[in-house]
Amino acid sequence: MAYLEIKNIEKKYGSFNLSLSLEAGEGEFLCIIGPSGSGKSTLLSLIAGLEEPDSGSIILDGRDITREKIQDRGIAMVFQDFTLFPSMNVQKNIEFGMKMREKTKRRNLAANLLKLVGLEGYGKRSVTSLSGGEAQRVQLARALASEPGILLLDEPLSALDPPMRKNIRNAIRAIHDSLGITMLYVTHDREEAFSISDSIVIMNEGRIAARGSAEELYRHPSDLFTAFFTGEGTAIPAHLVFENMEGSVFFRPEEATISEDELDPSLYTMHVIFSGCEVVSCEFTGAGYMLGLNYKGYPLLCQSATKPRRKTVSLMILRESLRNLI
Amino acid sequence: MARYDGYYLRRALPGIAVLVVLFLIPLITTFSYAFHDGMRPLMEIFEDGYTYRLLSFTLTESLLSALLSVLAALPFAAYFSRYTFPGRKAVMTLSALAFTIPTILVVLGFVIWYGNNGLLNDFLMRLTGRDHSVIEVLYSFRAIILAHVYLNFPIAFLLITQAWEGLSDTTEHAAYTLGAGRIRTFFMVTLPRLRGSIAAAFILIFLFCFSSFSIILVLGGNPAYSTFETEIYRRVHISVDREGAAALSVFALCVSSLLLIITGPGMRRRKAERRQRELIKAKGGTLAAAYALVLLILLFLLPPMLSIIYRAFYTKEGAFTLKAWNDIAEGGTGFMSAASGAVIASFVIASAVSLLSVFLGARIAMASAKRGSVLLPLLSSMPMASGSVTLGLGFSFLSAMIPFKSPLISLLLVIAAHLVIVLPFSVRTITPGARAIPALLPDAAYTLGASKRRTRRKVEMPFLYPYMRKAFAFSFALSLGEVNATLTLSDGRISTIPVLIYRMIGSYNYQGAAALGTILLAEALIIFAIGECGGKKNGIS
Amino acid sequence: MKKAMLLALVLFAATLISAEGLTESTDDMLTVYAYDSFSGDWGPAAKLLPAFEEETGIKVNLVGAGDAVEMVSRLELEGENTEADVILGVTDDFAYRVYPYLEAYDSPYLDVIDEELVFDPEHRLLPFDYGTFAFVWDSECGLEKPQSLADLTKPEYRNKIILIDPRTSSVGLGLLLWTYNIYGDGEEFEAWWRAMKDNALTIADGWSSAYGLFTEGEAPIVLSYTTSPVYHVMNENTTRYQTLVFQEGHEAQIEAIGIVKGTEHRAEAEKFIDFILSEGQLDTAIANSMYPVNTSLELPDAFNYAPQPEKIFRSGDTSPETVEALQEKWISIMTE
Repeated sequence: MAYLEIKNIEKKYGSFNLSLSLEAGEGEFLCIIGPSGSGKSTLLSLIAGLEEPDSGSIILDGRDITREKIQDRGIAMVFQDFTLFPSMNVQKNIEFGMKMREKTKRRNLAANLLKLVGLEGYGKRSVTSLSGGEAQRVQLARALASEPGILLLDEPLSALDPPMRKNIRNAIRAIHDSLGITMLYVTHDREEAFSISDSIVIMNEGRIAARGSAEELYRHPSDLFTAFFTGEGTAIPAHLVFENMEGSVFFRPEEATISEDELDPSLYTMHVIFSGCEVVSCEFTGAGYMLGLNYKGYPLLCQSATKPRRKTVSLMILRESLRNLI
Repeated sequence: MARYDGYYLRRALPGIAVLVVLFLIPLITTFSYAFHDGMRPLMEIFEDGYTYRLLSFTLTESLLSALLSVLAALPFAAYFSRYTFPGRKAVMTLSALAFTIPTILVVLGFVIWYGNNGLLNDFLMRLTGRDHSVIEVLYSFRAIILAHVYLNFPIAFLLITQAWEGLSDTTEHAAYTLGAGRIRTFFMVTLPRLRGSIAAAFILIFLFCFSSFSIILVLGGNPAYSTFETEIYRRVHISVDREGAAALSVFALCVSSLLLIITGPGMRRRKAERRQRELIKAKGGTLAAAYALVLLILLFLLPPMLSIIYRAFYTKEGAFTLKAWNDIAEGGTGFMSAASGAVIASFVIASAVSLLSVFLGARIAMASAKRGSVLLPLLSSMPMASGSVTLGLGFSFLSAMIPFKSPLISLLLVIAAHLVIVLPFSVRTITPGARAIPALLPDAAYTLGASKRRTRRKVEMPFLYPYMRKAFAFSFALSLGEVNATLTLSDGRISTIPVLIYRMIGSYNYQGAAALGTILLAEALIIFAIGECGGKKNGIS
Repeated sequence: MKKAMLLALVLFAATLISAEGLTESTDDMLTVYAYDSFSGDWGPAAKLLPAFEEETGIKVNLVGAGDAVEMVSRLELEGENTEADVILGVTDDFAYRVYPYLEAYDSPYLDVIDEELVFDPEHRLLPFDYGTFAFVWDSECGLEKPQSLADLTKPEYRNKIILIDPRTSSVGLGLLLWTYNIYGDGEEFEAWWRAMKDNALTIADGWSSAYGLFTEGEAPIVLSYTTSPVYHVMNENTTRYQTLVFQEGHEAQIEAIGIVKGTEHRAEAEKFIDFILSEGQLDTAIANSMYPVNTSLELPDAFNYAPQPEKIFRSGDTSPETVEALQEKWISIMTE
C-alpha cells in the first residue's frame, strides 16, 4: 500500500475543476509540475489541509486525514513566500514546530538542522535580516524540525536567483537522501524537476497528464501536452508523413539531422525525409545551433552541430523516433 | 473553509457585546422616544425647515473643516513619510496630543492665545505700536474652522503619514522613467494609492466636526452657527422636548451613518505592500525644509497648549503666581482631596478603559481583518458617528433604567461609557496591524502543528503589538479627556480631572483650571511617550 | 501582554474593593438629590451635612444629579421608582415640571422668607436662596458705565458685550426672559436683540465660557449674576469688576427644595428642609454666591459688592409656552 494515497479527490472553484488520484511511496521524492493554474498548488493545499476537498479522500501512512485538522496531519510545508515569523529569531522559528519539550534537545536539534541546511551559527539572527535563499533554508529547517510524515514544498525556489536555486535544490535532494523523508515538490520549472526527483507527475487543468521518471516522460511522452511540457520539439499533422494516420507526429530537435544537399529517400529507408525546408532562424546554443525551419508552412525545430550555409536544407529523422501523439 | 471557522469572530464577541449593549440599547431607547406616537416626533423634524438649515450649516462647516485639515496635512505627511530626522517622532507624538485636550481647554487656550486681548495680539500690538488688536480671528466662522483644523489636522497628518510610509516608491519610480513629472506622478500615481487613508481621515474629521458643540458656539459667536448638537441640547435641557431631541438625534445619526455607508468601501485599506518604503535620512536642504515644516507645526499646535500652561503660572496681567497650584495643593475648599482624588480616579478609569479597549479592540480588529466583512467595522464606527450629546442622551436614558446606585456602579458605568466611546478608535487603530499579517503566516504555523491559539499568540499577535500600544495611548488620552458621559453617568460621585476643570471654571477659577489642564497634558504626554517609544524589542514596525 | 492584563485585573480589583468600601446601604438614609455644585467637594454640602448629621443623627445620602435641569429630568425619568426623598435646587422656571412628584410641606420657617420669593402657593417647593442676573463690567475698560438695558444698545458698546445662548444655558434664558419682562415680545424686544447682533462680541454656550472670555479681557461686559464681583473681592482683592444695577429691574432665579411624593422618611425630610431654611441659610448662600431667602440675615462684607436690585422679575412667572415662543422668536431675530 502506498504511503500517500489520494483517491478521487475533487475540488471546484468557479470554472476550475481539480479531479485526480495519486499515490506516492514512502521515502519517495515526487515532483509535481505543470503550468500555472494547473492545480498543483491547490493539490498541496488539499493535502496540507489549508483547503478542504469537495469529495474524495487523502490517506497518509494508512490514516485517513481528509477531514483531519491541519495541525494533526503530520505534514510540514515550505512555502514560496516568506513565511518565517518575524517576531522570533531564526532559532525560535525552527523550534516552533518541535514536538519535544526539553530545552537542550530543542536547541541541539535546531543547531543540527541549521548545519544541515548550511546555515551554521545563524540561530540568533533576526529573520528579517536574511537573504531570500537563507530564508528558504530556514523554512526548510523549520519544516523538518516538526518531524513531519511528509514534507510539502510549494515552489520553494521560484523567488530566488538561478545560481541560488541550483545550490538549494541540491541541498534539498541531499537532505531527502540522508533523512529518507517523503517529499512532494511542486514546481513549474521542468529542469528543476528533472534534476531533483525520482518521479514526476505532470498536471494540466486539474488533472494528472502523466507520471513517470524524467527519462520516461521525456523520451516517451504519452501525449502532446507532456511532450511539449518536458522539452522542446516539433509536432506536425501525421498525415503529412504517413498516409491514413491521425493526430500528430512528434520529434525532439536532437533526433533530426539536417543535410544541405538533396537526399535520396531510397537510400534512407529507415528515415523520414523532409526536403526543401527553409531556414527561418538559427540560434547559437553553445553546444551547437537550434534551427527553426519552415516545411510547407509548418515550423520544425532541429539541432545541428554546424551552421547551415544554404537557405534551404533537408531534414531526416529515424522513423522509430517519430511518435504518433494526440 | 478550515481556516475561517469563526474562531476569530467568537473571540470578538465580548467586544461586539459591549458595543451592542452600550451603544445599541441606549440608542434603541432613544429611538423609542423618536418613534413614539406613530413617528410623529420624527415627522415633525422632517417637516421643520429649521432642521434643514441646521443640516446645511452642519454639513458646510464639517466638510470645510475636514477638507482643510486634510489639505493642510498632505505636504507635511509627504515629508514625514519620506524623511527621517531628529525630532520627527517627537513632533508626531506632540501632534497626537492636541486631540486629547478637553474642548473647553482648547477654547480657553484659543482665547488666551488668539483672543482680541490674547498673547498673540499683545505681542503684535507691542510690535506694531497699535493700541487695538491686530488680528481678530475669533468669534467668526473662520474661528470655528481654525479650531477644528487645530484639533483635527493632527489626525489627518498622523493617518496619512502612517499610510504613506507603507507605500513603496517603485510605482513612482516607474512613473518617472515613463517621463511623468513629479506633479503629474503625485496626482496620477501617489494620490490614488493614498485615497483610502485620505478618505478615512476625511470621514473621521467630518464626523468629529459634525457633532462639534462648544467650539461652534463659543468661537463662532453667532447663533446662526448652530449644529444638530446645539439643538438636541436645547431640546433636552431647556425646552424639555425629549421626543423632539430623540427624533433629531435619529435624523442626525441617519445623515452620518449614510455617510459612513457611502464611504465605507473607500475606507477599506489596500493590502499591505510587500516592500515598505525606507525612510531617507534628511540632509542639507531637505533637512532645512523638514525643520521649516516642523517649525510650522509647532507654531500652529504649541501656542494654544502652552497658553494653558502659561496661564497656570501667570495672571492675566502677566504677574507670576503659584496661587492656582496652592489652591490645588492646599486650598481650604477641599481642592486637595478633590484634585488628588481626581488624578487617581482619572488614572484608574483611563487605565481600565484603555486596557479593555485594546483587549477587545484587538479581537474585533482581528475578526474584521480575517473576514474582510464590512458590517463589523461599521458597527464599531457607529458610536463615533453619533455625537457626544446624542450618546449622552442615550446614557442618561440608560442611567435612569438602573434601579440602584452606588459609587461602584457609577464607576463601572463611567468605565463602560468611556469604553464605548473609545473602542471604535481602538479598533480603527489596530485594524491596519491585523491586515498587515500575511495570510500565509498562520497557515505555515498550522502546518507545523501549532494550534489556532498558539498561532494567534506567537505568530499573529506580535504584528499587532505596536498598533495596540498606539491604541492604548490613544484610548488612555481619550478617556482622560472625556467629560460628558462622566458627568451624566456618575451622579457627581466621580470627579475626573476634566470634570474638575469644568467645576473650577464654574467657580471662576480659570487659573486653577489651567493648572489642572497642565496636569492633564502632562499625564497624556507621559502616556503617549510610553505608547510611542516603549517596547521596541518586538522588532516589528 | 499577559503582564498588562494581570496589571489591569489587579487595578480593577483594587478599584472594586476601594469602591465597595464606600458603598453603604442607603435604605435607612435620607436620600437627597442635589445639583452638582451643591454636592461637590467644595459645595455647601461639605460643611452643612456633617453639622446636620451631628445635630439630628440622621444620615444623609447625597446624590449629585448633574445640573439643575438634569436633576429635574432624572426625577421625571425615574418617576415613582426614584430613591430620592428630597430634591434640592429646583429653579422656579422649571418648577412646574416637578410639582407632580412632590408633597407639600408648610415649614415653620416659611415666616422668615421674603414673601415675594415664595413662588409656589401650595408649598410643594420652598425657596432657600435666589440669585439675580445682571451684567458685570470691567470698570477699567475706559467706556462709559451703562445705566440700563437700553444703554447697552448704544453703538459705543459694539463688540463689547458677551452674551450667553438661551438655548443652551439657563443664564442665557434668564436674559431672554429679562428682556421680555421689560420690553414685552413686540418691537422693542426685537430692536434690543437686533442691536445685540452688533454689540455682542460672541454668544457663548454657557456661563462658564462667557465669564472666562470676560476675565481673559475679550470684552468688558458680560452677562452673569449680581454676586459675581464677590469672588474677585474675596480671592483677588480687586473691585475692578462691578455689577451693573439697572433701575428697570432684574430677572431673578429662585432655588427651592421639596419633599418627593411617597417618601418613607417624611419626618427626616422635614428636618432637613428646616435645617436648610434656618442654620444652613448663610453657608448655602455664600457657597452658591446667592442671596439667602431669609432677608433678616447679616451677609459678609464682600456681599456689599453684590448689590441687590430693588425690583426683580420671577422667571417662574413666565409660562413654558411663552418661553418656547420667545426662543423661536430669538433664533429668528439672531439668524435673519
